[in-house]
Amino acid sequence: MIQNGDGSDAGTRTRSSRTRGIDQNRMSEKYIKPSRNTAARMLDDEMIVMSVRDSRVYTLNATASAIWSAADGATPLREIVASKVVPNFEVDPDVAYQDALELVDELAQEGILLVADAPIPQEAV
Amino acid sequence: MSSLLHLMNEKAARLGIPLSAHLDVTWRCNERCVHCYLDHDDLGELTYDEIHGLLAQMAEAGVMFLTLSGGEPFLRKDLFAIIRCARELTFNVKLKSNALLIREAEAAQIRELGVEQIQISIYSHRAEVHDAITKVKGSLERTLAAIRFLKAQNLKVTIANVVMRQNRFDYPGVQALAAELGVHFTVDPTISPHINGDRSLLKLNIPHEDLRQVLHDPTIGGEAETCAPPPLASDEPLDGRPCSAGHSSCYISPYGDVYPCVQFPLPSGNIRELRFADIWNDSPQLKEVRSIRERDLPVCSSCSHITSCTRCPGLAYMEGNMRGPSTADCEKSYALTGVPSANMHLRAARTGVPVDKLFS
Repeated sequence: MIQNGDGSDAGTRTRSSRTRGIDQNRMSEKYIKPSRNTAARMLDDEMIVMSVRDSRVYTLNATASAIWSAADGATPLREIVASKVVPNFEVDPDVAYQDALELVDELAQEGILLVADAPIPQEAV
Repeated sequence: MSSLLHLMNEKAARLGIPLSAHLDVTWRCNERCVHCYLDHDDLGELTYDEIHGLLAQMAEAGVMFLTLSGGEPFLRKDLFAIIRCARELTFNVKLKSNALLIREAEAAQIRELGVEQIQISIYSHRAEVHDAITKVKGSLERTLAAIRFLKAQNLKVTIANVVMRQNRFDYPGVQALAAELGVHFTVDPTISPHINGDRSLLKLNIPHEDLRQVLHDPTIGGEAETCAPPPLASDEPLDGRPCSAGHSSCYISPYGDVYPCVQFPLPSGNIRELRFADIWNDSPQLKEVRSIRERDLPVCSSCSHITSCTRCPGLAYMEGNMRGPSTADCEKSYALTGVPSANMHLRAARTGVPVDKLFS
């Protein structure tokens, strides 16, 4: 789940987990890395992310925070889900991966996460 | 502050996490503003290496929102290196500056480094008034040029307008200037005592009738700056915290001294002697600040303004008692409502001055 709000008000939005076909996206690995235009910090069990370009603030729940924290641009998303989400949140690996794909797509659309089919270099914006 | 940020701030205060910090990287300045509450000599500023270490400790302690200020921060040759270090540690960085040293190249670098916003002081739309306050001829023109460079980089800029006797009729002009430049605008009608305790600067505060006018001016709406917003409504207002100072935010001087807030100069430890987290968690001074709830305020807890007052505990401390009233905020509550505060009644009884003449 992510919540977001801008500098004047906090419109909130909830993303719920859904299960879809598990064979999708098997063909390619995904790599993720926070955009350089973000600030982020863990506050208790949730990650606060702020876009420094438009001052929008996002809070990520525990599973999304685990994915964000491991987003180094070098580790495949499937591996992140397997090592950081599945053992800690007692969730089916394929369901967790599908949810993770939706999450990173959403964060990419918000402009705060880079998603690529190949490892992302350290200097990437 | 957005309600999401407000909720995060409440959560940080509840957990004892310093979500926000204000770091003055220097007190040196290239202006000499008549109302400034700082000394401008360099008494041994933190080095870049010390600041680098401090930022790493602050990030580990949970600080996310970092304000870099001064003095004039751009007088430090290593300011961009400091900002770069802060951004690599994923702080959200806000700058406060007079912008005299910002030109096209600096504006581009501020953008490239991912500074979220920059706040710039402007005292008047009239050069003769602004420059007389800063005591630097041509300062308004240079500052406005800098704002245009920053806007050209699509940076978020806020003009902060401190209102004092010298410029009390000019805030509408500054507001219009901000609108023309396409930047945000805040107005602050509070003059702070000097950080060394000298209260003579308070004579620059605007007369009560002018304060009333500023606070009631519908064109500035919610743009009057309050650093101590009233606490969130709760079932029991007297259980509330006076403000975030020492609860989820703190201030660090260029010499490494940690205070609850820049306006609350209660020495609580020095980062040259102790780790930041040890000061934040174990300082007796910060623990005392944190222990105070509205019900513990001997005068204010019985005041009719308790749920709406922007009482600054730092200004109260500067008056002699961190649990006491802040007279400047009593005056604001009175100017807003026409209802005297509990502190005003006490002062009237003590001095014999009629309550409606206390701020005359």
